[in-house]
Amino acid sequence: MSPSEEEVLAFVTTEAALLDVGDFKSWLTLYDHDCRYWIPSEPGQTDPDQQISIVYDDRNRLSARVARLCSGKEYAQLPPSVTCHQLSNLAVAEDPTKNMFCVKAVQVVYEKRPNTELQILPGRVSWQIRRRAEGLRITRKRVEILDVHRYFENLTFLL
Amino acid sequence: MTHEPVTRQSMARTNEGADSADSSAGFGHLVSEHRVHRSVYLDEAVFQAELESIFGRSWIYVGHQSQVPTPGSFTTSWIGQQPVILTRDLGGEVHVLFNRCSHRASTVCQERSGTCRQFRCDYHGWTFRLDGSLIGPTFADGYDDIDFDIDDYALSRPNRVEKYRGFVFANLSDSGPSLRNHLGNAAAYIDLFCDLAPTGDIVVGSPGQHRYGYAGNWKLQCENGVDGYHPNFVHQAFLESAAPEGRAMRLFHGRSPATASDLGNGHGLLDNRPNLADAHERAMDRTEAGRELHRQLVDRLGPSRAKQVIRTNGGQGFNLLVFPNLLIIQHQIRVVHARRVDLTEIDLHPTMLGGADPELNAARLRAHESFYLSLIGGAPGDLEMFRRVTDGLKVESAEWLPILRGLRRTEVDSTGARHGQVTDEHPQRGFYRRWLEAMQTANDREDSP
Repeated sequence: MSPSEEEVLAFVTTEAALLDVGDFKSWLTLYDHDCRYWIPSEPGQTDPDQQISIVYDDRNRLSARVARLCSGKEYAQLPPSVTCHQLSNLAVAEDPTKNMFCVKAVQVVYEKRPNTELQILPGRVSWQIRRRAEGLRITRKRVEILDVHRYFENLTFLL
Repeated sequence: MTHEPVTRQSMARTNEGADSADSSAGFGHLVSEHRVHRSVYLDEAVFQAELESIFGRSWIYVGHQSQVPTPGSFTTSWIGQQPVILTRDLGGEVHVLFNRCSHRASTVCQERSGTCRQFRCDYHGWTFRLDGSLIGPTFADGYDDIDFDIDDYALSRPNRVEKYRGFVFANLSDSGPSLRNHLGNAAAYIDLFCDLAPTGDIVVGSPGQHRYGYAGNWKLQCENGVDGYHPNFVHQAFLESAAPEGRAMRLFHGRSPATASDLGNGHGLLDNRPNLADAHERAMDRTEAGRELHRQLVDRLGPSRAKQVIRTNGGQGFNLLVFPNLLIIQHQIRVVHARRVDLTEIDLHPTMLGGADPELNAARLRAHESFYLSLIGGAPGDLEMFRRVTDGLKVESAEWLPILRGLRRTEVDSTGARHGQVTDEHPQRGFYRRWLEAMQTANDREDSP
């Protein structure tokens, strides 16, 4: 594994860690200005404009969600969730330009609030990551929830 | 200790003390213009009576015909707890069939939606056409003409199926009002919702759907979908960020000019046109795609009706509850499934406008995603409240939930619909008036010899 591939894998692990400690504002800074954060509503969904997604956010919308999450008025997060984002089967591919990376992983998110049952959300994640002067930035993250047809109760935490 | 189940006996006993709207019948002491009893949400006996009297005798929304767009397409739903399939047969006709093999009762369709040429029961291999008729049993020589008439073994179907603007409803009862009579004042709002499409038809199904659920009673969602009192509290974080200077907080304020209505027959409405109609009109003419839609609507509907439609639902125009299980909110059709007394599952179908610019339809999807299902939108706050309410309802000594907000400032129109300020609880009173009527009707029938 090349030094830059190791750096990219450390980067996605850092992203997961920021979510798990609830540092959403720092988490947001990992996303580039033209990013898309996508949770499809169907396995293999290809067109977000023809079919609803669970989330299909640009930077502005993602930032609005983080603002609400941090507002103290998001009752589905009072008391807040604690989460563990577990990444495995990580694979990284480097673009020939050396500026873009594609990472794939299997992710299991464990989520718990004091008054609710433990939720387990397995799925597959892919990232497109760009090297900028200031460091690595996510241009695209896609989370395919394994059991995406279930009747969800609370998804007010970030996957 | 769990709460005492409501049996006929315990109802009669409670009745003696309760200040009841109608003390002569079995459920009259549980619901009045002022309040709802906790057992209405908790009690298995009440739920079983609802399955019979509400889901067994009302027009139940099953799906939209655009969910079965082509011959051979199907989608599934429930009438109460009974699984049904909405199909379009190979000749193009739409049917509602029970998902139950006429042989050994297995469901014959396992997918939520899709296309097929026939339904094959996997248990013993019987096959059915999409109109429900039996193609044949397997190893047919085991059946003879004396005992077995193939026409007797079609998939069974609800007694009545009727459509309005592509919305397909079924009724298990062969008596009672027509769908159009049941819809009453609600039909005009379904018209306004559909008329925004250049073709006059909304598109459901192909845009996909959201699903969520909660461990609580189905009526909590029905009440909440037309509750104009809660948004400034539950959805404060969303509304504060939804428009500059927190202007969206004015929509559901106690001094908002928006209205709440009991439309009759259990249907409820929140109408935000007094706040938003001008903005909807301006917004539509701001983009080329919007101006094109405006032109298309004028062509199809004429300028006056087009203006009315645009001013109604260019955005968050109204929330409509069609008793008992259908909500139309913003761009969305929401279907409430009462799976158990304490389990509710909800299908949220974002809709697209038939014949509209793809850019406008994509914007409808983005608007839906911003509030529903996930990641710090609006709707998860409602589910959180349903969870908290369900916990609080376990308190036995506090029996009642008041629904009397705005009762003394009701305005009644010539159709009998009752109107008031948007935070008033007219939709909830209307829902429970119809609920009680339906429960009493069945109760009277049961009690008669």
